Amino acid sequence: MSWFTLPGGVPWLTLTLVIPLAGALLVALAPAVAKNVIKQLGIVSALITLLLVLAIIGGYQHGMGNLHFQFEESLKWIPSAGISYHLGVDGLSLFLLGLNALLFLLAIVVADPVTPRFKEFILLFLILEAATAGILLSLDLILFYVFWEAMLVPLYFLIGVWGEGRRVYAAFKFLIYTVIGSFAMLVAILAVAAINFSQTGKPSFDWTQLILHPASGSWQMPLGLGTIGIQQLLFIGFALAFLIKMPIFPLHTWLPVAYTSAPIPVVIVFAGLVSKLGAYGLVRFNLALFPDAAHSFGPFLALLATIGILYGAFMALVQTDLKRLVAYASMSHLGFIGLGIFAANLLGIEGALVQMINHGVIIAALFLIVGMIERRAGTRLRAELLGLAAVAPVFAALFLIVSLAALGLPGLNGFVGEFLIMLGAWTAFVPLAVAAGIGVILAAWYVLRFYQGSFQETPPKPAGFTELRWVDTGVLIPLLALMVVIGISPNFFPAAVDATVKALPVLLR
Amino acid sequence: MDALGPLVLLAPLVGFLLLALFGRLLPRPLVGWIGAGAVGLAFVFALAILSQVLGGQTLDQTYFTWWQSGDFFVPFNLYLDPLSTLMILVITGIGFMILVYSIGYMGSDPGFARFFAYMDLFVLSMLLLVMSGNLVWLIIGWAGVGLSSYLLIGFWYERTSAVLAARKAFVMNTIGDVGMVFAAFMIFLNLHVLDYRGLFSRVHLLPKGGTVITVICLLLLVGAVAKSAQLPLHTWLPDAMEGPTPVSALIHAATMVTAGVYLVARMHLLYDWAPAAATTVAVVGGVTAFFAATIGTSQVDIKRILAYSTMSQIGYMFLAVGIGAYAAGMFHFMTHAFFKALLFMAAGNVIHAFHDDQDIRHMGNLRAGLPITFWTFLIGTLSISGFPLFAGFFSKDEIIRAALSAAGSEFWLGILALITAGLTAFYMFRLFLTAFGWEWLAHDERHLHEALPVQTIPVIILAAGAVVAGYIPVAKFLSPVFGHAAEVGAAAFWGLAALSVLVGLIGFFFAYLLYARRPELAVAWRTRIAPLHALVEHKYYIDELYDRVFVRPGFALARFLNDVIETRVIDGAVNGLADFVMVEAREFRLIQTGRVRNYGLVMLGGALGVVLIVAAFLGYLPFRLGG
Repeated sequence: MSWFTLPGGVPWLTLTLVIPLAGALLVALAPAVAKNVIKQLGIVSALITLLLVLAIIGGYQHGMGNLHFQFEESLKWIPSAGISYHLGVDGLSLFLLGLNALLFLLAIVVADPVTPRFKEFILLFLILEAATAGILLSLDLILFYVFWEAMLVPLYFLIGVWGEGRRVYAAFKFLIYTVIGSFAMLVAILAVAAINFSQTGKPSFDWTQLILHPASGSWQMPLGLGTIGIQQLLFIGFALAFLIKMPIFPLHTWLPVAYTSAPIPVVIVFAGLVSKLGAYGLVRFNLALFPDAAHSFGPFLALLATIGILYGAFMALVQTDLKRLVAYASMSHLGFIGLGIFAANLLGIEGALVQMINHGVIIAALFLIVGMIERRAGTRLRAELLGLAAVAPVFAALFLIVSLAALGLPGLNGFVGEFLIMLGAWTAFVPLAVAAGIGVILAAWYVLRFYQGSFQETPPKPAGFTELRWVDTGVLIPLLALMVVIGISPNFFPAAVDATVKALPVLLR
Repeated sequence: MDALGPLVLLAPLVGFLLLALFGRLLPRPLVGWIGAGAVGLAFVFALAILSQVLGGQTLDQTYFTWWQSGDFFVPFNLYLDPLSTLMILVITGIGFMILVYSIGYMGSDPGFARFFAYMDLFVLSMLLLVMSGNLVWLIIGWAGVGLSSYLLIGFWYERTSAVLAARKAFVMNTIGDVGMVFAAFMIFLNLHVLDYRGLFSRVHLLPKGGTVITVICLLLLVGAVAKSAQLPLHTWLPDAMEGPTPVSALIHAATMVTAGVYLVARMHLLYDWAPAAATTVAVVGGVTAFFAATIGTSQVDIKRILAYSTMSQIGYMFLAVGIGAYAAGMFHFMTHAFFKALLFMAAGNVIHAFHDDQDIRHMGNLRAGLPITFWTFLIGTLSISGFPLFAGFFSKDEIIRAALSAAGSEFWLGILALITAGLTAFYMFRLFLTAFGWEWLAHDERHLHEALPVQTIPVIILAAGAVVAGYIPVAKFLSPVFGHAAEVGAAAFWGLAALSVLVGLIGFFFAYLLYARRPELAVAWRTRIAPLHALVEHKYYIDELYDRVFVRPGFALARFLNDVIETRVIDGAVNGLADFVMVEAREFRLIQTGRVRNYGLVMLGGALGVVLIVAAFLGYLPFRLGG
């Protein structure tokens, strides 16, 4: 079943990559002084991409299990090495694709044309959008790696050039972390393909092929360190890249400084989407290709994820800079996603998948709000803000709804994912679920401190704070709508993704 | 009936949305009547449901699917039986009175529309809580109640004390929510259902009195205790007095704190199956009833005294449902709703007359100045004290009788409840005699003004209820849910009645002696028991204890993580490693050499990759392939 049927014979997925790139090309041709034209070009290409992705989501057939991909496209690239241009979408990537398109649109809408070198800024944004979409759509591991690295470059410049504060330090730290992770992943990709080659005699980097022949056997480590399973080794290679990107405790220290330095449009995409790509990679590759290793490392990684929940929550409690506070809140929430993934059962993984969308929506809204506060107040320090609800009641109301979603209020979207994740975790490891529950209580604490500390009490300060403009309300409304809709009636989500998740090898053992 | 259920929810939902979105644009009178009218309309629908339930109908209707995946199935379904019908009647009926009263009480507040929007949201959440036919939507309603109370307690958000009180209420309620969520997990994992019908039919598959069902019931109790302000999660309730007085009336009478009682009654099949957990409920209730009553004797803020009286009365209800006297607990819930709403609203009139002064020692002699409020408050006081033939008399006696006729620990809880009844009469008449007085002041120079009719009429209606509600056959109405209660002999009935009246009279006598007749005695006695009095007056120092044990260590830990672990340990290790590898990292310049260097790094990764591709296909990887 699907909402409607899209005509066949159209490379729908390639279009979602090409449209942002075409937009980037037009931006490149535009004169740098025509900042409004550049912004409109960016908005139009992001909007068309979003409409296209919505069409894909609407045309997606529900209930097609057994590792079935839709809108598949496959072109030969380097046939001798088994490398191809293979795209497809399934339940794991479908809604993330939508999140990707939505967040890029919002980010470009809030990008300020007075930004220096605005042309390059938008240009990099559109390239980044194509890269992140490519990560979600690639079914060939080399293709995936290319997109993964392609994402890094614009992101690095967006922080390093347009950032604030210790931007160079932040960008460089992020780069070092990421390169280490990427390198480990590259080695693992090559090794996976090599093992598959030795098993089948046919070179292939294709996910749909590799999943059929999970690696086995073990490796005698040098220096008498004992043996380790090949699958475990490969798992570590992939996981390192993804765990850094999420990030999972204790690989997170690039995060606060990177999020804090990044300008608001960048951090929306960075926190809202890129962190989710790490989580996506864990499900797509680690859970799918290395099910045995996923089970053997699951408890340990779930423990790290749970520590991250509590650690991020405690850190958020004492931050004085709102952007930093949201950065740690994000880390805490990502711990939930990690916990769901490593619970490695149906409800845990589905909870993690829906929470990826929820987290993207919520954290983007929170960072947008921090940006709106900073633009009006000239500061993000909690101590310099007070009682703003009196001068900006609409702002206060929308901020409150976002806060409630962030603290997981039942009836809004954050609860849906947290409930399923904790249920999945409870099935697998009760103590971790209980610890996550403490994280929920801490979230209520730090989120309300954040809201009340800036918008309640009296007298209002700083002076001159103003109410939301229409464009501000406009970018928040779609996110708020998603918070309510997913909270009240989320069944569209399992209807679409259930079949894919059930077919994951990690659940079939 | 399929349509009536959603209509009951729809009325306050529409009211809430209208006021939240357009409230500031609408004229004030319209705002008030939309806010109150929405709940009044819901009451009309509830009456229609009542007529069908009286005809023997029930409802369990699914309207849409919330989440389905494997055997995890959560519908949105409404469950209407006599129990939930009684609840929605009280919520909408008493709620309507409170909202009409608010039109007058909040008349000059600049946040008028916001107030009514929140109140409608409150009623909506509470209705959802009692009408839901499954645990997930129960939790959603449950949390909605917590949210609404947060919004209303912190309604005057300019006040720091209100902001802190609101947050405290929310966080403590969240603790309860998490307990409920865990209970739902255990139910699902053991019985594979989350809807009531399935749950109630399968609960017998668990071993009776076993660990699983006991833990489930105790986790549910965590939620119930937090929401109903019972020990040990009660500390938010007195602080909740920061909200406007009608909010207190709504929280204490029609919604919120009664939710815990409803939960245990709704889950009575589970508690019947877990005797140890049920006994825990009873002990929590009995002890809280006594504990709160003792604090009530020492407070001087009129609303705080009423708040502790609520805690105490809810304790009675917990005691009742804990010993299996479910109908008695629900009966007391209903009579309490009348007299407690009345008491708060009458107190609100007094507070207005005294320009927001809430200290009972500044009041007194109100019979001439505030005649309606005086007489209605007296009716409420008599009812809560269990004066014969008033509503509270019947329902409280039923609980005490049920406890006394039980064997074992329940018997002692019954004795405790009897003593608490005496304390109740004492602190309520202390309040009444101090704040309202007994003598006729011939010449009152304070120029007190009685409240507007829109405030006094609802109070009068509730006063009538506080007298006659005891004659409503609630137990019979609920018998399809809880079965028929045992017949009570006339001797037992009147014997206990005499006993409890005697206890009440003793309480009254001491209140009269100390606060009307010989006030100097009160001073003398208080100095004689000074340490004990300080302990009670400071609410047994539980707030201070929680502050030392949870709040401060929590912050200390957070600061330690932030100042030491994050910066010095984790990041210190990372940066130290980085410095070791790349000494010149700090002088890094993006525009000059840096960019090249970064590209170099990426290219290095790429080059290594190419080397490895070649190596892989030539078979030079450092392990044997394929096992």
